[in-house]
Amino acid sequence: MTDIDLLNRYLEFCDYRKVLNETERLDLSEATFFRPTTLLPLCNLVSERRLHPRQIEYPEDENAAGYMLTILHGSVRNKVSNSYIPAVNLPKDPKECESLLQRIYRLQEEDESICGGEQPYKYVIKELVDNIYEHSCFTDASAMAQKYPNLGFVELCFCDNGITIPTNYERHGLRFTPIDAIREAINGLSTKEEKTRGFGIRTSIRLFVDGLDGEFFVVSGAAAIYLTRRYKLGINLTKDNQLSGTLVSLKVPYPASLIPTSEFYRYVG
Amino acid sequence: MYTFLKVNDMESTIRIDTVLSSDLALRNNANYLFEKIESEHEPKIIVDFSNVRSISRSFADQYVRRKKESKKMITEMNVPVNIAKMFDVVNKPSDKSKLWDLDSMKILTI
Repeated sequence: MTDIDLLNRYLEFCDYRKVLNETERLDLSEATFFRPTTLLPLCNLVSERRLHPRQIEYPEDENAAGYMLTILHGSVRNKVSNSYIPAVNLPKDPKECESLLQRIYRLQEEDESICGGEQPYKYVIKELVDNIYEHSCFTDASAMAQKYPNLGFVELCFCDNGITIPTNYERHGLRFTPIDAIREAINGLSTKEEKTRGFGIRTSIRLFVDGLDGEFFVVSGAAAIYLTRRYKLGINLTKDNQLSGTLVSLKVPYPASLIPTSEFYRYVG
Repeated sequence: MYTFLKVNDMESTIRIDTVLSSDLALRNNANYLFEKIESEHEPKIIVDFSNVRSISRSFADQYVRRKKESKKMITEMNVPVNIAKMFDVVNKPSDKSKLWDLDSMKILTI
């Protein structure tokens, strides 16, 4: 049976959003557990819609409510933990991004068995964040990471409200179906002229899927793609499940063996 | 720890970790670095990579591109092995063959 865990977490977000659209209330009362792929786009939604606290029904489960509030507001209080990074908002000016990147790096600093070591972990964060700055034209973008030692994985999530991958291609004269647009992005078709562009996302996927037996999930506009070593899924999204922006989630086994330096360059080369 | 060190009228040295970070990331930051480099009067610039821990492929690619475009003579010193390897990667990029045969991808509608 195909395990489409990250897709299911994203669809949880879509369900919450649908109820919000119908009732103007974000009803999280029955939630007992949030994963980054659900929570990060929820945080962005709360911010984007400028929801009043009265419009949000927080979880009745105290742990879930506490976690949500920590993730929503932890970045403001500079809360750090060795198991999670609260939602960090990317500044519009990339010159101001350094301190935030360093916060995300912290998750791995005390635990080498996260994501195959310092180099792979920092590499994928840098490349995915760079894509957001280079291509998305975002006004809101954020990242989050969580380690689940008992469940045996680490989950990273990046989410922006930008122009989407298909629209980015369209603006550069390339028309694809939504799924084909994401597929081309994964295979390295860049909208920039230089031939040495377009390697960031493909090498990150090689590193995390081939190298670490992880899962890669991207939603952009009206389509999504799910990649693991064992299967590749393309998903056409109906209107209720589409995203005005791009979400990238990664799920990596924890603990993960260190990727030797020679192997690291084989994946990113 | 210096950021810019003027060696003489012809040459100065720039510490990349103090201008940017020990963890080099983002094409935009490579552009920022070169704005600093181009604003220096000396025609020769040495970029000191002491204390640099990591570098993304995107940053390395942008660095190489801007270096080629610059009229200044730019060299590097104290480049850690892992950083040098990334420059090797971007200077000899692999063919961008299809990453996976995504044409055989199963398609769902949800």
